[in-house]
Amino acid sequence: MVFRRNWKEATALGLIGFFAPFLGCAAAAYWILGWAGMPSWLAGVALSTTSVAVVYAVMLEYGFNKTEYGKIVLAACFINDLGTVLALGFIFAPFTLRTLVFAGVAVAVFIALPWLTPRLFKRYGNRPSELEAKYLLFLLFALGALAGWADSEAVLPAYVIGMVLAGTVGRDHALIRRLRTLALGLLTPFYFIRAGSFVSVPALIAAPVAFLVLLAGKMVTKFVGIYPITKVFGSPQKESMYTTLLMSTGLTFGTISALFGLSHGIMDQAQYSVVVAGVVASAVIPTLIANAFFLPHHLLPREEPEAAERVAAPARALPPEQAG
Amino acid sequence: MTYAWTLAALWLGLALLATLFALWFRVSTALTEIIVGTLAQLILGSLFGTDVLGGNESWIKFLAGAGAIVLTFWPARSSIRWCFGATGRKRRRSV
Repeated sequence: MVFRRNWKEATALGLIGFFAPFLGCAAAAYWILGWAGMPSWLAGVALSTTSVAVVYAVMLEYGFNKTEYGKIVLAACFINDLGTVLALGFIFAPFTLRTLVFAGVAVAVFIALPWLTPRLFKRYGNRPSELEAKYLLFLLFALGALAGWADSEAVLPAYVIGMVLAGTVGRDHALIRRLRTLALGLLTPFYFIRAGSFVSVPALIAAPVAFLVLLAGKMVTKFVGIYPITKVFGSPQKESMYTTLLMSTGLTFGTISALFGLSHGIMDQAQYSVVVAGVVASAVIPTLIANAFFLPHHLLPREEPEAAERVAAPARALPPEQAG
Repeated sequence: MTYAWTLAALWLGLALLATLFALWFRVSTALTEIIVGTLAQLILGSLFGTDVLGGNESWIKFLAGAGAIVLTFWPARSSIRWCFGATGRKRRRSV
């Protein structure tokens, strides 16, 4: 129950972890790279993320997932990404009557789901007809369609459905495994390979400075925002640096935002290429630095992380290396 | 349908290759899939034309879009569940 005990720290980290790179990278794209306003804002959104998946993977590897520290950082990542999803869903969408209809229907569905879902699953679930998978995909596609009708982005309701169904879907390990096969075996490779196929290597080679500006922009703004907050809450040096670096990672939402920009004509292919390269680099470089120099050994659990935990973890969740 | 099956085989072949790279180099599959996609477009595109991967085919756009939706659904579910814990206040009956 991390939010009851440490909600102030997690909220502060999450909010600053979103706003600092969002505003800083948008400013860097606008003033240093000379991009137009909308692609600059989109670059800010794409680079504002924290990769829940990368953080989750590191936490599991070192056993921080059992510690209060790990829970605070992951809660902060969740708030950070919520900011990214909301920004992507609303900044680039015109506010019309359709937006209101979308918001109204979505709120009603989100209120009903935690009540309806466990009852439906209990009565009709766990049979070969796979009602659960059809139900979840129906919800994701239907609300995605409604978001698209309102000129918003389909990932926005998907994120909120993930939140409200965490207590229901998350408990059923067998269901999670079955959905994982569908997601990782078929859907996500198409997403990541397609996102990669739009990256133009010649455009990237022609503009290495733009790539470096965006990558440095993300890391510097995350540092300037997150590090002081960790100090305000009394974290020791290593822990502060580790938190800052982990929250500088990004992957899935970064590429989702960039692909949204490319497909909606907000960014051209050269801009898309440098943003995705920056996002990919941010998934690797901060993690390597964090684990090489700033691993907070004093927070590690006394006993080694149990092998069972490592094996069981992917059964509970999408393997961290794939998501977030 | 031959074209669609060929494209599907090509994409799943690339996905398989990316997964093997991820296992060999101990990095994330998402990363290797992005890099394999970039390199495949660069190499195959220069050999067989820029549309060789068919990334704008409607069914590939659909599968990729569904992948993005699932990827967004999952981290929210995982992080909420982790933060509030398996024994959190939402102690509903397991389904």
